[in-house]
Amino acid sequence: MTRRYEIVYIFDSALDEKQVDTALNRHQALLKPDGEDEFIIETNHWGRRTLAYPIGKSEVGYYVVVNLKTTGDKMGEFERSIKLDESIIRHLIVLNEGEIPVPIPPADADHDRDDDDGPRRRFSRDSRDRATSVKPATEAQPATEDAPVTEAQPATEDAPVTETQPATEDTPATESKSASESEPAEAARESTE
Amino acid sequence: MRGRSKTCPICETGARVVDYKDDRTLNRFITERGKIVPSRLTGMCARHQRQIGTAIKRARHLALLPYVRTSS
Repeated sequence: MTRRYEIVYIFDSALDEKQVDTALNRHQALLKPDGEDEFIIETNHWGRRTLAYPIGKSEVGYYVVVNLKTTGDKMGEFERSIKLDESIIRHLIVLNEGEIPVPIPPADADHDRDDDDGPRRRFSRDSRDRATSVKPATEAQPATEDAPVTEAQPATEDAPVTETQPATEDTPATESKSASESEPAEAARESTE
Repeated sequence: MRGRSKTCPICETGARVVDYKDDRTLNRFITERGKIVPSRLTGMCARHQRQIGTAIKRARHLALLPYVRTSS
């Protein structure tokens, strides 16, 4: 039985993209499930990023996030080969949480959700320079990745354009919203410290 | 899902699942020392507090968040 895994690698920042790709191919060849060719769902290169704390002597790491399907019995050998590879300074393998079924909300709830996404997008844009995860990525890069999310609009190329215009107009509104919402949180945090 | 006085900050966003790669969001739920903030201070619902806890621990492993932040 194949399951969806999400694997995060942190490569040594000295490697360039080609070396990273060859290393990925080499390790992930071990994960190929029998009789299936297309097992890698998505590969997302975050690129170089400062580590929150030094790992060994590295201050910077090259992050790669891979989603793939494979069977559990391949994992042991794969993880062994990752651990032996000294260019990978850290890795994480998790069963993909994207599989957690999200109940499809009725029209009303969906509308609610869209409204609620506003503040979330705001603070992820406020404090986040670069898209680092699947969800914020879709939100931060409306041109490409928003398209599958908002199913109604992406048909024409105008959609992103029309979307960006209201976005700028919305900004003060959402900003004030997020500000008002983040204030109590900050107040609470301040009181704790 | 919603409490009376305080509402869960994650539920308010409409998100059902917390992503461990979303370090900016997780950053809101750690103290300046790097500790996980208890739900009694954030008003987080139990389900999301569990998810946040796991997510923060994963993010720490990946050096997206610090295990401990020392004051300068």
